[in-house]
Amino acid sequence: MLLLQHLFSGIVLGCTYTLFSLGLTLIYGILGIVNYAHGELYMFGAFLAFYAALILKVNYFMAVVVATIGMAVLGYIIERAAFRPLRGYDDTSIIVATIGLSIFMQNLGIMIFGPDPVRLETVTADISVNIGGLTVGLQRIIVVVVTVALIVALNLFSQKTRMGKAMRACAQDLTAAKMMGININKVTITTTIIGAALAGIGGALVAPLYLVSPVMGIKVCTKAFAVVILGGLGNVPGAIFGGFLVGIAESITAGMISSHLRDVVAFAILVVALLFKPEGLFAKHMQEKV
Amino acid sequence: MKKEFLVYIAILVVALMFPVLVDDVYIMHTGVLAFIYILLATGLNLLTGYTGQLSLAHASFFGVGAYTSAILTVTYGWGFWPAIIASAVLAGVCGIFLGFPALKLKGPYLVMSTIGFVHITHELFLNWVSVTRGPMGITGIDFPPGFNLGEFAVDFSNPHHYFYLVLFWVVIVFIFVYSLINSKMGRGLKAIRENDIAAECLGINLKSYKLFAFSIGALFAGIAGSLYVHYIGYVSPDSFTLAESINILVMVILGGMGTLLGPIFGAVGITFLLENMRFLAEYRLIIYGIILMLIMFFAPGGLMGYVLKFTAGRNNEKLKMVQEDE
Amino acid sequence: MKKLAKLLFVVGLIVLCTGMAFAAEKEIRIGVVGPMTGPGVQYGASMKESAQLAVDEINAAGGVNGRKIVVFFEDDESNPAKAVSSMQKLINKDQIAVAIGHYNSSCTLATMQVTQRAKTPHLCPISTAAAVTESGNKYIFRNCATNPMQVGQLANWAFTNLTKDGGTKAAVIYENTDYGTGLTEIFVDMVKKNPKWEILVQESYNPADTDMIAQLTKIKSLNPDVLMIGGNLTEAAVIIRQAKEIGLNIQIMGLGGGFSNDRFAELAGVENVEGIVNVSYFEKSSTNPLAQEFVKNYIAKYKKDPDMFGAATYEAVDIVAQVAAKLPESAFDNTAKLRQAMRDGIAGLDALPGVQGPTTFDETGQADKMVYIVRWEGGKRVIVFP
Repeated sequence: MLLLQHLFSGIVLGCTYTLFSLGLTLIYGILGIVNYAHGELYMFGAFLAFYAALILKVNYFMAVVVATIGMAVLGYIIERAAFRPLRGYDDTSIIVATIGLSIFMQNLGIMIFGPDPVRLETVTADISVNIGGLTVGLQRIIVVVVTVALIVALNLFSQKTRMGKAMRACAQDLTAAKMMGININKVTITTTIIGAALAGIGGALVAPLYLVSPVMGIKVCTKAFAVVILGGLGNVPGAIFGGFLVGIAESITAGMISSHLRDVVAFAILVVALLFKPEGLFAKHMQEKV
Repeated sequence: MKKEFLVYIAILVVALMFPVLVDDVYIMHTGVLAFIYILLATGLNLLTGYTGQLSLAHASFFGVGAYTSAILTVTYGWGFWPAIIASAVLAGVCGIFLGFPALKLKGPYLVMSTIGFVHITHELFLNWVSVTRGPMGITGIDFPPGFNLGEFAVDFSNPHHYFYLVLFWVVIVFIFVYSLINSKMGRGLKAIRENDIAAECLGINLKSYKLFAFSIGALFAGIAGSLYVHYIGYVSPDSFTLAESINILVMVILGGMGTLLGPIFGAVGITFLLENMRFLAEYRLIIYGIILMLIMFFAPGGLMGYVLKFTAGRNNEKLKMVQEDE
Repeated sequence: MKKLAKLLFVVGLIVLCTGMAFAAEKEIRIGVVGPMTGPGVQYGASMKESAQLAVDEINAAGGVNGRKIVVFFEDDESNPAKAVSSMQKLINKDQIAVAIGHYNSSCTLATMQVTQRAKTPHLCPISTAAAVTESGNKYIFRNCATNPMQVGQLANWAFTNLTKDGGTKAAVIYENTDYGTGLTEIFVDMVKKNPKWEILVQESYNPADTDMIAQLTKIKSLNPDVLMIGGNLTEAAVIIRQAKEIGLNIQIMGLGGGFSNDRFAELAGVENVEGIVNVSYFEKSSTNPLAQEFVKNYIAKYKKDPDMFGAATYEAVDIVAQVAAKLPESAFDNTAKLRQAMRDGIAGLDALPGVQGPTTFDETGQADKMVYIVRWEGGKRVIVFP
């Protein structure tokens, strides 16, 4: 029973990591950018939902929708102002530039939203239901449902729509995709918008569970990096698998073994996994060019 | 006599004169920290700049050095000099320890596993309470003992004097790196950076070369850690986090990777830049973030690369040669 | 044009790198250091606001014997190394007479050696680690209760009020920092001496953690009578809400004063904090007229309630002003002389009234400060002890 309870909270945690990692891995896969500022997108999403609920006085679900739209706009701005100038740069320059973006956005967040954490109040946050002996918060169920729905939607989008197909083509080979007449700029903007929106939804979903603060993105961002690498960079199913694996492992370690080890477990899994599969668990065999 | 030697000597003279010309203890203190960062940045540059192994684990080795020195001197009553040697050696061993799993990894995969390493060592400092005193940290670490230089009493509790101790190590490390990169070994490391498979075909033992770079880079960080704790007098896990690693990496990249002088300018520049931006209060980090982005947009090769581009003119061939000579 | 922009950018960087200096005037300079950025930023903001309020009030009333108090705020980013740099800057560049700081004990432990060497008095209003005043440092003074004082008071209250006939079982969840582990160690020691109490489990979390369900589920499965929290406001609020979520409905207590703040009820929810008992060293419901005055002015200026970190910082600035007012004119000749005179003045204080009650420092520099035990009722704190 205890194990089941830990398993469930691990799945909820895994949902957060997954939503976060999906955007990260998409942006890397298509733009080749390791986005260090992704944690700040998560934070902005949570704050947007909070202010939407506060100022527009809309209910929680509308607040999440408003936050998603806001994040899409922010994603567009970031793509134009930060990612596009970096196109074609080497990994190290990109990492430092996005670290700069992260520092900038985080402190901008402190300035705009103030340093104090806030709480997004919803009806769902304080309701717990009992399912066969498991005590489960209603908001946690919403997190799981929305995450699953988003994963399905993302899958449909990439399989069925023109843009989705273009994105997959770009992820495979950018130059070839360009030669096939795909508008690269459109694809990169769409990718960034999707990535930012997913992170923002992630932030808005956990806002009623946790507290919303300008520094909330730091920790989840480092963990999500572990998730993305674990699944293989640019690999969508890998990110989903990695997200849930890390979330569950973390929850079970903290609950059953020692809470001291909680923050290490993701990286311990990662290091061990990389020892055996240096390109991530889900990597296809890659041909090395000389 | 090569022109570059004149540059090095001029920089050394400036560094030697710095404590004489500057009276202000605060500027001197910043100078001491900046020079400790030179050691860190130079070590990381050897690994990242010359060998092409992008690592964010440098704060771990910094911490290993700091804790080793603190524990040996406070708990076991060792002297400063044996402690600093032990710190360097232990950090170097940890470098090999990280190097082994890192051998197969590349690019973002390597970066991530080094980030993992930072988190693991940080948790170790935090939770191995019987040795590190956990989150309480270790207090009461003494300055290195002073001595008399003829009439002149050297007192390391004075930042002006401590600066020379740090400078001494910086010069040793610099000479070491200079001779290393101009040796067969150094050319081998650069070959790995350019193309490791081709390097292997030329008979370079990738494994031992990479491990060597990891351990030497870590060893320098160990020295820096020891100098740092004996200067600050206190050590706690908070100082050795990913943020510190990022800070060191930023110094190397902004200064110019794979150049001898880049990490020096990067370390001094960033340390003084951050200190001098204090008047901006809350806006400081916002502006720092923008500066980082702008530098990467305009000068992705770092400031040293920018300088080289100016001195070498628009001729790319020449630029390449200058960088190779460095 | 593009080249010109680049050149201007580089020149701008160089100008930023070279810094600037300024001269001293007839004024009393003090420095307040805390986490103005980074994870502890909310507490640093509280320190800054209260110190600014104190300085404004003193200067509006004509300053200290005609001398204005000038306050320099610095950021330590909750990092000991940055803290040392900021302290060096305040002492050497800004030439402060008294330093006030920090929030994190680790920062105070690092910088008190700097202030000692510079022979500058250092008031510590917030850091509670016992080690701060146990090192024989003659320049450090603390005007808040230490961890042993806070936990001791709370444990004794719990032993009298919550001991059950069959023995009381306690669980502890603490922040894995100097603060949280410090509180927990003292509590565990006290419980060991009490045969009627036992500790079932000690769980930890890291600062800024958001999901404590795992630890709380484990605690719930062991069925304790009391849950002790050794930590700060933000995480404690998360713990309380998640404890309710999984149905852990037992008496919850705060070992330290970390969350004796109105915002705690706001963040955790009024109904969730009902009945929680914790330590506090400043209460706005205090009958102390100075405290009432402070609360009124703070609300007027910042439109929110002050917390105890703010109160302690306000009191520290006030101590500086009161001590400086009594110094002879000759003490102001130079900074070194002023620092020494201030140190001696602070050390010699006798029951100086302040917002947290009278201040007298013992020979270690520790003030014997009042510790309250409060219980949350309807979103407000009610003093249950003394």
